[in-house]
Amino acid sequence: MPKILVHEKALAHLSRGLYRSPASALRELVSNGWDANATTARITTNYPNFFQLSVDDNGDGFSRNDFSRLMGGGIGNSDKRPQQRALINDRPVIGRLGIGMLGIAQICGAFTITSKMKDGTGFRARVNLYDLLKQKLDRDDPEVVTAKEVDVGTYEFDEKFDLSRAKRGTSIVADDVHPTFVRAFQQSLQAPKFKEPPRDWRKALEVFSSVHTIQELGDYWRLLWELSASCPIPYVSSTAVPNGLVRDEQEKLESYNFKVIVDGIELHKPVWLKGNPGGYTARPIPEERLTPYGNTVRFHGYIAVQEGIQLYPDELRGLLVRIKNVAIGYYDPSMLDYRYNEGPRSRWLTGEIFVTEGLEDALNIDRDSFNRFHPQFRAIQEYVHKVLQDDVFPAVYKQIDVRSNARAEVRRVARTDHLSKVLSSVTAERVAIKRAGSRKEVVVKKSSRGIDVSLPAEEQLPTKKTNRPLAAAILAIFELAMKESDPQRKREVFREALLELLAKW
Amino acid sequence: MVTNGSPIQGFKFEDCLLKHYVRTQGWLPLCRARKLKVNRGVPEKLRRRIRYFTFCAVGAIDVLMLDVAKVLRPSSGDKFNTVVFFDKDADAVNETQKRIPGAIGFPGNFTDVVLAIDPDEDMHKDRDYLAPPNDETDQYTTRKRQLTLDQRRKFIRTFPFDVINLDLEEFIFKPNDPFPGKVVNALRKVFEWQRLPLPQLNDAPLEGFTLMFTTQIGPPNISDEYVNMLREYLVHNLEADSSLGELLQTKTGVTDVDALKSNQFPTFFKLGVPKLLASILLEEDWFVDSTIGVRTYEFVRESASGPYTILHFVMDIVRQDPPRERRAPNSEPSAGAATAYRDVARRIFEVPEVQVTDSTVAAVELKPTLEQIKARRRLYYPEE
Repeated sequence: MPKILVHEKALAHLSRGLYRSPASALRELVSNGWDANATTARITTNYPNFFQLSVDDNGDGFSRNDFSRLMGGGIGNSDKRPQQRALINDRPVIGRLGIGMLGIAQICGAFTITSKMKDGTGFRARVNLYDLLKQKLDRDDPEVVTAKEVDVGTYEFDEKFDLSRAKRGTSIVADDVHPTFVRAFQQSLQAPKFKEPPRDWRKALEVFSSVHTIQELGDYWRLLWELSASCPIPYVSSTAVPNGLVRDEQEKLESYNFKVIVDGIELHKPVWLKGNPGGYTARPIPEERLTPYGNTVRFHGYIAVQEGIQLYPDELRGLLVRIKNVAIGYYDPSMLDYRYNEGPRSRWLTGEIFVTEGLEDALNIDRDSFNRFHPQFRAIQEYVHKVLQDDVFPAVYKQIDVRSNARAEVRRVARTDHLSKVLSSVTAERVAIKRAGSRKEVVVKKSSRGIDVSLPAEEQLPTKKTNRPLAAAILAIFELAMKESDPQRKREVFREALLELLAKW
Repeated sequence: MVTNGSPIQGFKFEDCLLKHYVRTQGWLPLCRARKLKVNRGVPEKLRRRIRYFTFCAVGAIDVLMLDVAKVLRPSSGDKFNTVVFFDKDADAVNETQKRIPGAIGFPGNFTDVVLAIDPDEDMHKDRDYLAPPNDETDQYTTRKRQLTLDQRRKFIRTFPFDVINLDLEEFIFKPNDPFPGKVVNALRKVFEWQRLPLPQLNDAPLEGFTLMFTTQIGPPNISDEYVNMLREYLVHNLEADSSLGELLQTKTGVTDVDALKSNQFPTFFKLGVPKLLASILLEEDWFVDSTIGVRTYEFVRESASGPYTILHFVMDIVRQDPPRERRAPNSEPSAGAATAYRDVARRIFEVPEVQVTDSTVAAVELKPTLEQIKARRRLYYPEE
């Protein structure tokens, strides 16, 4: 039976158009550092000029032979790590070394890679990617397309490089950065709400939450956001999400001992929910194991709702799925295509789903999105939607009632106090306001301390519910005015009290 | 002896205490004084941070020394965004930016970028060099040209600086450069751009700045054109001030510049280069402040090909008054500048250079300060 083949040109195309943002390409290089047991991955963007870009890690490095194998056809091959070994601190293997390295080709035409291993061996090589690759592929240019293979560039080892100058780990420095990238990032410093990013990430998070959308801060801030959201790094604290919902996750992330530093700014996850007057409804998603078609998918997570106030920036809204702690795409405001319209409440919600087993088959090739009809994705989706529908949003609605009642009570007390002051002012006596059972009428009584006014029960007043407190107050004014003996004075007291009441109602 | 020094294997420039002596005794006091000058009489709220340009090299020791000494302060976001530096390649810039976060780094050959021809240089409206050209394909040469011109424009926009540290640690004169040499022409440009207005001063220009300039003596195959240029400066000085001949004899034992050139080339070079710098400054509407004149520090460093001599010149620079815009075309430098030029020339003959040797260094506690600087660096870059 004839086989269905994919032409290598398709793979060559992928090398130049895989990722949707620079952060996605950089994330892949950071992931390589994680898999190489690095404790720090540093990204330097040459801010504020962006003429070059680098990613360094202090991991195990790799050998000249590994690099040659990778460049000589190993890119995109899942067998590229010859011997998969356990990582430090019980880190899960992200396992993407390969095509991620060429992801940087989307923003530069050449880069230098230096790698040094624990035993002091290593290499430095210069990688040059072909100009106008797509056009050459399309016209089968013999420079890149031969009968057997397609190549996307060349590399050359720097034999003169003194490896003793290099630190352990891997460093990729892209210098032939594309002018379009440089220009976009330079222009991003002119964004309407751009601020100089502080090195203290907590201060940076305050800047993020001060804007509606990160686009107002520009592409550089977006890069920081996307990297912070996507990399396997800790939160700013174990209380970054209320109710201790990320305490365990934070403990685990801290135990991995992995930092990502961009231009001297140590990133943490971008979630930091705190100080909302209405509080938070936060629900854990306990460890769950599903087996669609017999394949296990295991996950846990949380959903948190900031009661009554929209989350800012917009990019924090929705659900973020992580596989082995690396984010797939960004926060999904559709909440994995949730089918119910929850109105403004959906803008109060953020959450993370940590997939610890499975779901990798559902990844699209950009590793930034899912095949949304994959059985494992559907299984998680259905589970999460059920949690949203049966638990989270009902709790949110309950909280809305609680807040609404609390607000009404505060308003009621304030209005009663105001009415008391108004009546005391016009009668020149101390007037105490009482609410009495189910009475229909206002009762005014003289007492040793002044005047006691009992308001009618609001439900006994046959008018619109929202008008009842006002109606009760007006009736009280009326009754008190009627106690005056002079008709003219009755009119004056009623008029004066009514206007004063309305002035601050 | 003049050699083209290549470092001895394993030698770490930043650990050189001779050099650190120059940093702490030569550079630091002037930078401190500059900081005071910049903010003298300025209300606290309006005080600004020092703007510093350097070829600091990967270790960024000079910047970190000024940080430790609180001369250079990071921004409220904890970044050294008033520090601008050039380094030879992307790798070096990358390494430096890790050590002084927020500093603005330019990769590439300094003189090539400064002297790149920009057809729109004098146009007031900025041209967007990075915009995709309609008539060229997306190829390396196109991109390179776009980036170089943009880099140059961005570099110009960082001017002016309160302190310029041109620590070349190589030769000011390159035999293959067309006369008067790329470095000299780059200095002309740099001093020209120093006249650009400073936004923090309501677009007023700087009144002065501090200059540190470093060069090796040489090169061994220095061309006659360069030597003659230095000779002319010295002869002109001697002709203009007859008492200088006596000073020259006291200093060198000769009265004749040609004899000095032939028999004591290092001294000839040491006397000539400050005059070259002073002349370029004068040409670009600045002059060397005669209060301290040009201080010269000198030390000898071993290298694989033999010892070589490094010269460090430090000086305060002042803008001519009235400035060029308010003087008649083709007029002489301002009176103050001309007087200062003569005084500075005399001091160069009078004041001996500081010979930095192991015994000089031993008299000062340098190691602890170097360790303190390195500790500060580890704070910013713990993986080092």
